[in-house]
Parts: sequence; C-alpha cells; structure tokens
Amino acid sequence: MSAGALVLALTLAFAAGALSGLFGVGGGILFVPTLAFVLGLSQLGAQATSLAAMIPVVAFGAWQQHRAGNVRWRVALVIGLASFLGVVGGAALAASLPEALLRDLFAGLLLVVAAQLAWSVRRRSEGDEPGRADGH
Amino acid sequence: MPPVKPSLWALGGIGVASGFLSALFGVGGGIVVVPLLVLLAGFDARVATATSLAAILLTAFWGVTSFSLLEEVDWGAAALVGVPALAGSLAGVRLQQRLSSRRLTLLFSAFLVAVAVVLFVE
Repeated sequence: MSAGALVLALTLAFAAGALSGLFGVGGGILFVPTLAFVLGLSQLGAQATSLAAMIPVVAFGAWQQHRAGNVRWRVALVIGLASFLGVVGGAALAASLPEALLRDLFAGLLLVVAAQLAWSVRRRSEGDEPGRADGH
Repeated sequence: MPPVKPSLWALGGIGVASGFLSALFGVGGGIVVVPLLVLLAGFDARVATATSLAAILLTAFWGVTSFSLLEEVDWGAAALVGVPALAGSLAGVRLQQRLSSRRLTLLFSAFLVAVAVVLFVE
C-alpha cells in the first residue's frame, strides 16, 4: 500500500465516523467503498470488514445516546437478538453471490440512501429553517 | 403520531430485515430500523436513531462472527478504518452544532451517487 492510499483511507475513515453522527447512517456506507477501492479488499471482504470496523463507532454512539436518555433498550434488545436470523441468511447469500453482482447491489443501496437523505432535507425544509431542522 | 407499544412480532420482523440487509451489504441496518420504528412504533426520529444504534451493536457482532467463520474479515484493515472513524465520531459531535446540515446532507447525498456510479462502471 502506498503512503497516499494510506492517508486517503485514514481520511475517509475519519470522515465516515464524523458523518455517521451527523446523518444517522452508520459508517458502513463509506467503509465499504474505502476498504474495496483504497485498501484493495474484495467486495465481500470489504463488507465483512466494514461490520468489524463499525463496532467501536456504534458502541461509542450508543453509549452517548444512552447517556442522553434516548435509547429504548428493550426494543433495541429484541431487534438486535432477532437480527441474528437475518444476518445468517444475509451472510450466506452475500457469500454465494458473484462479486460483480454484490458490487452492483451495493451501488444500488447507495442510490437508495442518497435519495432518502435528499428526501429528508426536502421534508425538513418545508417547515423548519434550514440548518436548524434538528434543533435539540 | 402517538407512541404505541410495538408488538414483539413487529420488532422481531424489523430485526430480521435489518440483519439480512446488514450482512448482505456490510452496513449497520439503520436504514430500515429507523424509518420502521418511526412508522410502526411512533418513535420520534431521535429516539429511533438512538435505539437503532443500540440494536446495530448486536447486529454487527453477529455479522462479524458469521463472516469471521467464513474467513472474510481483514482485522488489520478493520482497525485501520475503525480507529480513525472513532476519532471522527468524537469530532462529529462538535461539528454537528456548527455546520448547516441541509447543504451538507445534499453534498453527502451527491457524493454517494458519485460513488454508486463508479461502482456500477467498475
């Protein structure tokens, strides 16, 4: 890995962490392209590694939200435990798909998230002043 | 929408769907958990996001366990992006109060579209 690639990876990862707090999207959406393009992992490897990389960020975020009194723990626990079933199915499917298809599916997900973000801006700006939309 | 007590089945369904997406795409699953908690449980966005984060902690743990059994997790690379991301999330808390979230959200949205285009072309 070149020094340039290393700096780019560290920068993108830092940005992913900063943005995850701002937009409520996990760092994963930026981790995967960073791991695949900059660090040269396979699409499947990048997705698997993204899940490991997000654990410290998510743990910190959850702890902060807990302190702010925003977490409904019973609900989180039920969702988190039930997600095991989905994870097993999703992991088996991801591992069985060709790399190119997995990559295209991920690109499709990016478009969905981009549309969702743009839509949320539109909706908020209808009632609130821009920039103060989240006001808390 | 008034808060309602979501049924165990509804929460279980949200969990399975988010776990599936999370493992298929390597993301947290908040994309489905947050809107569904708002729609089905009447949570406000802040509580939904916070609760989703707590749930994702477990989801990501299941995902890492599954993929490490498949020997797909690159632990060195995970540390290389995970550690600066943690630093970034510490900084993000402060940034949040200063930046115009509207413009930044649109910029980020455009950036995601650009990455998607590159991925399609690859």
